[in-house]
Amino acid sequence: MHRARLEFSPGLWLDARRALWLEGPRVLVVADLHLGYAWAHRTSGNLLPVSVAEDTSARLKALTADYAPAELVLLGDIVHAAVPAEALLRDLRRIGELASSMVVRLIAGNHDAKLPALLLKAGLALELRREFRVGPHLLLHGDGADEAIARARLLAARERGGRVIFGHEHPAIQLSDGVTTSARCACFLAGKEALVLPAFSPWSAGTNIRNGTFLSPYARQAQLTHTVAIVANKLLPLNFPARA
Amino acid sequence: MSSPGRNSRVFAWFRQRYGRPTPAQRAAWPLLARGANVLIASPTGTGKTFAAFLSVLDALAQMHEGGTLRDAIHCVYVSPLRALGYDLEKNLNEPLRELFGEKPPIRVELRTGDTSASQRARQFVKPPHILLTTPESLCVLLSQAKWLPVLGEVRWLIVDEIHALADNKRGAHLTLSIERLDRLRRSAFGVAGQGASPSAEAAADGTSGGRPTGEVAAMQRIGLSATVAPLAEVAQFLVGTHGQCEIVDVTTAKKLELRVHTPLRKNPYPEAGFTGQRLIRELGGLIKKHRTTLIFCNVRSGAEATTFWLRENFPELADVIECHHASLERDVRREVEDRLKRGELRAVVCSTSLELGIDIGAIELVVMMSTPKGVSKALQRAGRAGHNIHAVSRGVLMATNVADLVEACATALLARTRHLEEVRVPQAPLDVLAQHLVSMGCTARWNRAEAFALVRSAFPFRSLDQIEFDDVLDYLAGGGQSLRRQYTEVFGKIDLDAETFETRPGRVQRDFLQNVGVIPSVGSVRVRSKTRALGSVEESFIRWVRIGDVFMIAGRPVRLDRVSTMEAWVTPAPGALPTVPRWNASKMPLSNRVCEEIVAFRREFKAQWEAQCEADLQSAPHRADGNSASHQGTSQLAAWIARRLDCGNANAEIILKTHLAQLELSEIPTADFLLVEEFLELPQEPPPTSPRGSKAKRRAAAPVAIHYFFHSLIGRAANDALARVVTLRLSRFRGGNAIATPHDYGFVLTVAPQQQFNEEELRSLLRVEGFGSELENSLAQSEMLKYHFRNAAQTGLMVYRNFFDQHKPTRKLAWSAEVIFNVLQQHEPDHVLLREARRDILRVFLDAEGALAYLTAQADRPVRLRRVPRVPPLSFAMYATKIKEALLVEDPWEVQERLFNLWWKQIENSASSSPSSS
Repeated sequence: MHRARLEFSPGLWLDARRALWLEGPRVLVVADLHLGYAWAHRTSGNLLPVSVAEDTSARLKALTADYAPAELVLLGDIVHAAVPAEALLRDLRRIGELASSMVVRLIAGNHDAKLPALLLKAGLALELRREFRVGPHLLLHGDGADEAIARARLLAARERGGRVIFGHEHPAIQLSDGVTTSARCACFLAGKEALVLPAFSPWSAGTNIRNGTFLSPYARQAQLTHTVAIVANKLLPLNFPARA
Repeated sequence: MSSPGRNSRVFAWFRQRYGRPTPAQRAAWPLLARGANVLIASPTGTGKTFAAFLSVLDALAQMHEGGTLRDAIHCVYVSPLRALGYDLEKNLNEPLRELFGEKPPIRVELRTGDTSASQRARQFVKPPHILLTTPESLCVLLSQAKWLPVLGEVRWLIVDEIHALADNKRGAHLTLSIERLDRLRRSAFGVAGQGASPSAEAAADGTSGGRPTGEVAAMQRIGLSATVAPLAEVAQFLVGTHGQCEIVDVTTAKKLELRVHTPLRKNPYPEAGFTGQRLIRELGGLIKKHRTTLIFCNVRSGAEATTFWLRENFPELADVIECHHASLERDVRREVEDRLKRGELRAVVCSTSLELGIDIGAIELVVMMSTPKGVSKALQRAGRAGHNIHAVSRGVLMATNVADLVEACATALLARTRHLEEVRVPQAPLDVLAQHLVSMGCTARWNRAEAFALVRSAFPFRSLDQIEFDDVLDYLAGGGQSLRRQYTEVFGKIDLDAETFETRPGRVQRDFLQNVGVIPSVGSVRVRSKTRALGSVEESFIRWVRIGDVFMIAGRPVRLDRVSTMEAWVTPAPGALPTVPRWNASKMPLSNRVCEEIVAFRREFKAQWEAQCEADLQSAPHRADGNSASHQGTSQLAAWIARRLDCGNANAEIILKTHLAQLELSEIPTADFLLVEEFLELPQEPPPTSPRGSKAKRRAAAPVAIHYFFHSLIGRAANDALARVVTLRLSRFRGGNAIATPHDYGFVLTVAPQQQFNEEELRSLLRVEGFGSELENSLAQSEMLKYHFRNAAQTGLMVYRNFFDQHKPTRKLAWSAEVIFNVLQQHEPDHVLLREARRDILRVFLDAEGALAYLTAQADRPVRLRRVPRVPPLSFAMYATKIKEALLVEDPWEVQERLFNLWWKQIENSASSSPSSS
């Protein structure tokens, strides 16, 4: 029941380390890194701890070492803000280092407006795209689109036998013992035509999927019938659909 | 006394105006003239203000007459409440005008968060001689280099209501400001030696103006306190580790009359009619009998509800009864205070907001709804009545239920005999330290060792260790050494090297000045109507309210129209009944003193009862059961209770009845053993078709839950700690979740039937070994820790509440305490602010020490696990706390009342149907 990995549908593996593994094409996907989050706070006066900034790239490194993917896809909101902190450039360069042993695909999210300039500054020749196809699947960040377009694309993906795979939502679920302790756990949301990744950033509190509306038109339009929560580094499939 | 001041113009004026000085004044003046630090403890209305200020005014007047009065701050007065400053401004300017005419040469001015920018600028150019301020505003001044020369002249420091500061972080914050102020004067004047006793001459001539050469008196500290204990500790709090302090204790100078009143009648559980309603009627009666009544409730929602019900039941008084609490808008509060002072109101219902000494005119009677949870609190509240030394302070403790009644009687008894609780001064709070280090660094580059020595001279920080001090500096610098080696810019608040530190200039300093202080900001939502802001309510509360719901604010019902993130818009809904109660549990745990007194009472009662049974058995051996007292016996017991608790016969009867009922179902819990009652909760009975059938069914039914009532009478804070550990242990060896509900009198542990345990297992749940670490484990993910971390993160300047350039939207980054908390728990569990949050909980909010002491003491005593057929009376208050959550839409009194009724009926039924009684 509780495990670190779960094959949600053939070839589609959820990993409790907040990643998705597409087995056939050997593609590893993570969403919403929000690099530089703590630094963004710091430049504006809040003294957040920064040891975790290191941690994000370290966790990514560990994942790629385990899977040895052909391609790594970063599903948008790669940076939180283009803060003038060298630490952020350093984090980006670490991602650049991965590109020597695999193809690194960057998908632009709503936070990534200034990412091209940062990449340039970090001396990285990585391309930033809006979306990307892997077999029948469509990978994108999940922001922006018109409801009708989102619906059409979800439908098209389903007809191809694939899914729209996106992030942006930072889905999470509030679990409580009803008395003194409660925890918000990041989760995957999935249905026949879509799959939503949790945020890879440790700084994401997550939006409680049980109260609140979805940010992404894709999430609003999709039938998200399954919730798989990440509890204490294990996957916990829950028997109820995500309802915004 | 022949101190020079006593013959002066100021003292002459005083004698002419007020005649004989009060005992506080008589005792304090000579000490102050000698230059000593003095702590004056006395109730309201005993001339404290002049006891402290008259010699200051006198010295300043003499300086003025001698032509040596300079434009500088000579005296700083700090009070925890802005309102006290407003009062004092008036009360000092009045005599000054009488002495010197319309424009007195001695200027008294206020400086608080409300002081306008232009006023602040004017104060800098022409500083007042006496500055009235708050702890926060004082720290803001100390954080600005330009103010230091002005503050270096401060000769007298007066701290008002010091008892309200000694036991909290706000007070710890103030002590650091005081030591810094003291140091300023020393370095400005080269005052010799720390804690040097100044010569009488220097003190008497007020050190004169001009920069004197040679030895000058150190800053003289004067503390004003209400009834509090131990005074010696509060004195240390005032003068720091180096100073000496004289204590003037005139707390018993004012007569006190404290009664316990209960609307309960002989039958404590009447068939119909709620005590709640009767309570309001009797309260109304008291209000009508007295000119002005001040009513204290323990929580704001209680104040709201009481005001509402009083107005409902006494429409003729509706316009002269008002509500007052800290969530109300300031001008709403001020209006109430002013009307009270002018004698226009018959009653004000407040939470704790009028506990401190704002001048509210003559109060004839103080009523405390449900017990104030401590003896000092009871005395302080009662002291608000009778606003002059000759008047008697009349207080009534209103006991709303049987459990309250014993507590109220015990509290009144202890108050009459002045057995007070001991103040607990916080120990080196790191978030407060962080704030002061940034504040210090704003004005100069500090030597670390000197800063450390200065901090340790403040009493709450006396045992701060060097490592923690350095940790706080490292945190403020933006991280440890390794981080700074990696990056040139870590965006810390201070610039730190091996020897020194300094706060980064510019924005860091400007932002800091917006965030001084330790008042925790609970997420609150401003409530406004079309015409005005009414106050605020907790964010957690408003989340439960739906549009169209009616709730109470300022004792008046309002209907919710819409909510934004920061504001709730309402329209008044006169006459509408609230659909949503605001029902927060009391935040104050019962004090140890009162707990001990109740424990003592129970033990003695048990002995009395046993003796009585014994006597009855001797005189009437034919009574077979030998386990219940005769009719005559019970009346003797009642008489004993009345004597023991000094509570009157009617109260004693009710208490006796409750305890006899307890004896029938269970036994009287005492400190000689730990009583744990086991109560099986059966499924809700279906509507009875035939009474016999349903009864049979009921017997067969398996329990849905088991409640264990642990009678550890050690106060809620200690029981909370105990309950958490017991719960953790149970879920470890039984699996599954158990729910614990802590209470002052013990705690309820609710488990699923399969988690049931026996006496031996119970013993292991209560073992001493591993208590501390298991408690920490149980807290690791608790809401409580998150909440306290949020406070520490704000006080410790990890995240700002306010920004200097608030209008720039980009600066106000959203942050979530929970996220930062999670990240730190995982990656930096030893972070100073996380450490502080943990300590806060263990020391203050949970009383881990008290719980452990109890377990240790209990280890050699028996534990008795006892199955009870119903919830026994002494467990009822605990049980009611537990089940109230399910009954949100009822009035709290009614809930308790209804449950008591239900329970009473069950007892009577079982008594009449059981074969033994036929």
